[in-house]
Amino acid sequence: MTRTLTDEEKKTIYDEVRKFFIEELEVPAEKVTPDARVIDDLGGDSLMYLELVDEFKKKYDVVIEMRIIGQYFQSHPVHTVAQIAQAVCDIVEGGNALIGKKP
Amino acid sequence: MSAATELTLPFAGSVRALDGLPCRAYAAQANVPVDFVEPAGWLTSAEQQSMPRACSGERRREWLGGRLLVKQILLDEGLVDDPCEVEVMADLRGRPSVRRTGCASPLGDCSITHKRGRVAALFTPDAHYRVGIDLEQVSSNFARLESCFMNADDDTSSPSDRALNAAVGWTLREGFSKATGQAFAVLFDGLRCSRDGARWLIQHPSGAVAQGVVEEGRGWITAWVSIRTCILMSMGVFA
Repeated sequence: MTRTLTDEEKKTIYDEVRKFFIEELEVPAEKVTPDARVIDDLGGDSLMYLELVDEFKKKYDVVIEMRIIGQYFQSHPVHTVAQIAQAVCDIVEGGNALIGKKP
Repeated sequence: MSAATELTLPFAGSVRALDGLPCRAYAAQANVPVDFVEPAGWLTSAEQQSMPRACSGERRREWLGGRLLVKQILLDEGLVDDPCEVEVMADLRGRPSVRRTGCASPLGDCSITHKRGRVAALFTPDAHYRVGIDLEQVSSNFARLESCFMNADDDTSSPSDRALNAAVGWTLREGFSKATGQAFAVLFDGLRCSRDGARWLIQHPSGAVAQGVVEEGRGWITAWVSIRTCILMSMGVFA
């Protein structure tokens, strides 16, 4: 089942993603800008991406197989805070239909 | 006296031949001290310019340490006489690529990992293989997220220690993702880890199989992984 997020909901998700990185990485808030690279600039790692996706799946009650998320990330590489926030929005909106929704 | 012997090696004695992988491979691990200072003459200007823009403190030490370890392997194995004869630069997939300075073809394949001031590097001169490495500190995070990446058919490294078992499963998968250059997307891909004696086999749903060696001690796990370049073709990854 798919859903459509409003601009306000997308903004909320971006703010939540940003808060997640500030807290998990213990970095100053001003460093977590939209174009900050999570691994190279902020010192994040792959497990953190997994943790973030898992957290938002539960928070927004998203039904999606992990392999679908893997396929999405293959075609939509994410490096920055803004890119990962957009990926979370796509996952929340698309669920298991994510790949069909975002060719 | 050669240029190499005139230099002070930053991590002397840390290089060893790694047993258990099908290719000839050399490994090195080190703790990067808080007061670590970049030794002069180890990085080319292109390498210095490639440092991530916000890289400072521990991240900077780790970034430097990983590159110096690769160069130390090459020096110790007699493949170069001077650290600046080679450059360790990111390729288009973001993997480190080691080449003679000014040359296009790689000298071999390498992988670098770092965590909390500890760095490790793996290098193979064998052109038929790619290598990947991951280093993790065992924590409850791995067990908490195991349903996101572990496969029900995975062999266990330590059935009685869930956190250790999940950490081993994660490091093997990370090593696989680094060897293949698939970044973290492949971690969601249904990889399966099984034991073959002392070695681990990491199998991708496409049928591609990598081999890995796991070392653990004092709460740390290191996974050293290699995969034949021709196998990457079956995954749609061009060598």
